[in-house]
Amino acid sequence: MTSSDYSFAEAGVSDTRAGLATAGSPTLVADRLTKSFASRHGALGRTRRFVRAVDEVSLEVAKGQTIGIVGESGSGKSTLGRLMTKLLPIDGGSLLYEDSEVSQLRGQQLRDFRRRVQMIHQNPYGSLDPTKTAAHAMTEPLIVHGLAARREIRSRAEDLAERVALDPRLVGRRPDQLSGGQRQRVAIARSLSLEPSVLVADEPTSALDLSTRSEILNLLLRLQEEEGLAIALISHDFATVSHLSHHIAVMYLGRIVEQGPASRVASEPRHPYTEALLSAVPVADPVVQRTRQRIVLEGEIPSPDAIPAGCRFRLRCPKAQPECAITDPAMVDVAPGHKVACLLYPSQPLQNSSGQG
Amino acid sequence: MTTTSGAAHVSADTVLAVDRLRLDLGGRHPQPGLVNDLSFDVRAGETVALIGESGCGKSMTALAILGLLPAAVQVVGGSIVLAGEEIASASSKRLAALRGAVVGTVFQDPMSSLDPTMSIGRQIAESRRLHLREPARTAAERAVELLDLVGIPNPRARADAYPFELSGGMQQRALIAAAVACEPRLLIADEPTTALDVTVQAEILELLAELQSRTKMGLLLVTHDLGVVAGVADRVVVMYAGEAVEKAPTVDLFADPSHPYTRALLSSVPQAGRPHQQLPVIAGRVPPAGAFPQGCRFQDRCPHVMADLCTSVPIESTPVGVDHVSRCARAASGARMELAT
Repeated sequence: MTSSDYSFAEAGVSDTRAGLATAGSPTLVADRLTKSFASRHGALGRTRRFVRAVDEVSLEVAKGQTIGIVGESGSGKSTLGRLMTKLLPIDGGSLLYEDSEVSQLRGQQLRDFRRRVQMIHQNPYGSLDPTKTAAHAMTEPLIVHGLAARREIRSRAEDLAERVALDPRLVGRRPDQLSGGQRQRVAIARSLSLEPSVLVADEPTSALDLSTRSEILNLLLRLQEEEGLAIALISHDFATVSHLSHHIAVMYLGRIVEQGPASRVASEPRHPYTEALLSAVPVADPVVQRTRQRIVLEGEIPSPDAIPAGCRFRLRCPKAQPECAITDPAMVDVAPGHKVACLLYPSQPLQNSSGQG
Repeated sequence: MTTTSGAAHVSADTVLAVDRLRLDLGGRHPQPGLVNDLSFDVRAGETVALIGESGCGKSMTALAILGLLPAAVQVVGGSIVLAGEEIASASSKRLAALRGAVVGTVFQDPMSSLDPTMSIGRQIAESRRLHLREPARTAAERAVELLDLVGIPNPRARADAYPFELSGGMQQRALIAAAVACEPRLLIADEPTTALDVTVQAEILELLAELQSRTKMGLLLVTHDLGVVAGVADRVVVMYAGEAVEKAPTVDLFADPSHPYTRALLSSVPQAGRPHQQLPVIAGRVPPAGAFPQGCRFQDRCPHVMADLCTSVPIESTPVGVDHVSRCARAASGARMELAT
């Protein structure tokens, strides 16, 4: 990055819709998605204030592609995942699934959405019923949706086990009789049972050992290749995200601050927050790791009910300027498909000057 | 000053010397050799990383050093010398006196280590009152200094805060302040940054290094994060199924891993330049304690296994470089290892 990049944009550019140039057609499109939670203050919690956990987030999940969503705890990435799967109602913006507004879906259409958009959680031990067998866990969604009869459970479970490379002889076991990797396979098989087109995976490998992690990553890669799954991968583990993702969105305090092709975001981060985040990710190479310079951020991520005026990152930003206290930066293109919300980058209608690299 | 033997090298600046440690689980389902023939040492000011998958005996080793083994697990062989004192045979009273004073601990989840009903200042002061018999007022003053030392802003006010009032990173700093309150010779940190964000993780690791250079305490770091190991460890002990399969200076281990398990572990990390590629995996899983095979414990998962050589007698550690040993029969026999990965 050169000093010539550090020029300030004119303020007040209209917020652009996040239209990522994706190879596959978008399956799930979030446009200015917003979610607020009430937080209680004062004596006996009588005063209610609303905090925005997710603030006008726009992104697309495309068939056969993975979008990685990274950020620290408190960035709103898990809330975003819950909004995208309609586990939480949205407060503002829109969510389109195959061109239909998700909040308008009713009856059979809503059931179809619930079938086709599935979530994988971090801790398979917490998301599986300890009293039920793996076969039950994997096929329960089929029973609920009336897609399988109870007598078929065993055979359907064995088929699903094959798909996630789990030994079919293990389907009669309960979660405590399985290893961490096997449990996560059961959880993934359960999500796959309804033939989803979108998987939202929230930290799917964080609770796993190194060798088990690579097995689950391989499984997700294979399933995507074979079945064209659209995947939203939510993780704080940048190595995992950049290995799986085609696009990466970086979240800070409820907003996406940088978004673009994975290779570009990983190798040429433009937002000061992304730069700092990447510089803190340890590299498993002692020669490299010991010579790297980490960008130190001041303080901690602020509470979502005390978001600073102007740029929400400015109090911790090593490149903050007086201007940053006044203007809340909009997303601007810095390269085709690569957007940054930072006043360091002048806003140019990049589409007009096509071919610029 | 360097040693190529597998035995612990005891010198004046050695704060921890584990020598041929063997732990057995007794009871109705006995598991002999839960930890077997484990030797390593930690010198003053040095960071030694203990790595391996879950179930490899890392945490059991840490508990043995703290004298906190579950009742059913017994030290049946070898020794643990902590700051010159044999602790494998020490009384529980003596062990309690050593914990906190000579050896400090930091665990993964600060909330489960801190007392939720006591202010953090009091928790830190308590350690100094107990171990150093310091008067309450001096200890409280020292607690504020320690909170300042670990980078907690406004330490005098924060000393009165309860753990739940602090963020995860601040809780971990408070826990570190408590762990180093009596200037221990050795700090055992078991996955100290696993629950933290990468930015906070980097700060905590820098803090530990800073404390180390100040007090020359030794650091035994139990982790599965190879990036963390690459950044902070001087030497690495790779454990598999209760045994140290490879020990080496960090740079040598990453540049020239000898044991097939170490190689497999290192190659399972995603590489920046090759996205969307299938990652090498280690087929099978760690054998449960009590079901270790005859001979090499890694044989069922090893792509280089050889009949007889690997499957008949226990494998001894062999020097493969300076201060670098590998518990592999091929390394011992000098047989070349053709590498698939």
